[in-house]
Amino acid sequence: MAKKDVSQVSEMPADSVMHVRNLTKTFNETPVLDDVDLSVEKGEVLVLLGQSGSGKTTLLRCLALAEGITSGEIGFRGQLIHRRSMPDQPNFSISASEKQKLRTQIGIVFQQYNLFPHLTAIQNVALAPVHVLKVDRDVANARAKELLEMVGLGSRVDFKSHELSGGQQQRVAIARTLAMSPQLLLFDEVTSALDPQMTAEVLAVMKDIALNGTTMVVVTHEMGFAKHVGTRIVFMADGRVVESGTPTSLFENPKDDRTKEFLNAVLHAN
Amino acid sequence: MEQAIEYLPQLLQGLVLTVVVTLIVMVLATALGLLVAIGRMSRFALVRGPLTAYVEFVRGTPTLVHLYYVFYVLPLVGVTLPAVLAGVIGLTIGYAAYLSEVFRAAIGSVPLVQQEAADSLGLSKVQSFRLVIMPQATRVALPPTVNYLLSLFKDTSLLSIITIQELMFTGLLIGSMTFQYFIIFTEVAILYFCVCYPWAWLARRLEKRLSPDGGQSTSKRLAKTRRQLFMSDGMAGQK
Repeated sequence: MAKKDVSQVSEMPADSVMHVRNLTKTFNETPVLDDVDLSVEKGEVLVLLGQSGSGKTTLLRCLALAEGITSGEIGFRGQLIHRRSMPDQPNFSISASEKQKLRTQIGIVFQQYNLFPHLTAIQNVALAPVHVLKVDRDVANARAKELLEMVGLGSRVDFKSHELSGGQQQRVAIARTLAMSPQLLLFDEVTSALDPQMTAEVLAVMKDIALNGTTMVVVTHEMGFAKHVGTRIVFMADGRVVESGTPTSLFENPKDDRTKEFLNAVLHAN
Repeated sequence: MEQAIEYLPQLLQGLVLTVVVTLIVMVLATALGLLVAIGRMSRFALVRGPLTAYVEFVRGTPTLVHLYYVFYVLPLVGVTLPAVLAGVIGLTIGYAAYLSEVFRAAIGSVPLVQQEAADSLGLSKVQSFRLVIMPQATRVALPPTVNYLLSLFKDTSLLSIITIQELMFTGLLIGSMTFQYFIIFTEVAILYFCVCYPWAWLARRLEKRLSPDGGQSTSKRLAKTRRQLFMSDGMAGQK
């Protein structure tokens, strides 16, 4: 393995927060991601669209460093994280402890909220700041309360997850992720398990966060959010990126047949 | 009746030893059981294999055999232990294995996504085990653990066979001298029951308090769900 330059990524745009290159992932020989290139720029709200099984969620999980890769390269802010089976380039992987540190900078919100059920809302939010970032408990609690107020749950700080509705739980989960002040925020179909009213509550919070300039990658089926809050749409099919562009260009003038088909189906269903 | 009162101090002395042995075995078996449970989840087959063999073997043999082994067989190879120590070891061997199965199942019952959520927040493996997995597993493990401890308390009566003067042995001793078996063993049974029953009651209370929904009855839970359904939103600020 070469000594110095291995972890340097040379041709990255200066504003890239996270990138993947030639990313391929197979489950039992079935490709789920097939040669995907993607760079997430600072401050953008990147929306991943595509049918179920198109690889959106897997790609998001790769960005969250929650999945191994079969081949390709993943980097975060110009620093290489993984490189596997790339032609003429040595394999590389950061250590487990470095990875653990990086994960504090990449936040992910899950479809099923995954709150810690034995803790109250405020304890959920303050847990990682206290134990991972070693923030003073009082400071962490004050900040957690602020964040819960921001997501509209100031009156529910001492509630446990089973005492909260789905939409409220998801908002706590968002506050929990924000408490780590991540550089990149990933959303994995966070409204799929919610009814329309709760969906609206959660989307409103996400919109606020987007307007604050947070870099976000959002997997969603909410076309309104994609159109009005997204700054770039990436359309995926069969594990590949088929098309990408601004919401206006993609929604009004899709080029690829699969994109057209998908948009037709989704927009007419609504 | 006078006789019953006459035997009571001696029997109580036996009861004290019974309780002390139970407590010691309880602490040892819980600690050891947790270590075995964690070891059996190890990546290394060299750790997993022997521990699995131990648990399976012990679960497939009677407690009395463990006690005899420690008390009668170990001296043959030069290890002679005081009776109480042999008894404690013999019971710990069995109960550590039983409890390790309880703990393993409890840890396994915590959904995998909880670990994922902890990972995504940057918690280390040790932190997520201590702060996220363990508290949830404890709730699941508590009721069966308390049940095992109850049967441990009753199993200490087996120690009478290896000459430890706990409650059962004391009863036998007085009985063999006075032949008042009816009075004595009624008393012995009542004494065992007096310890077991409050324990079981305490266990039920604890189980209720530790359950994720605070041990509410179904009707209470339904009422709350209904309230939540009719409540427009958490933002309104009502409690």
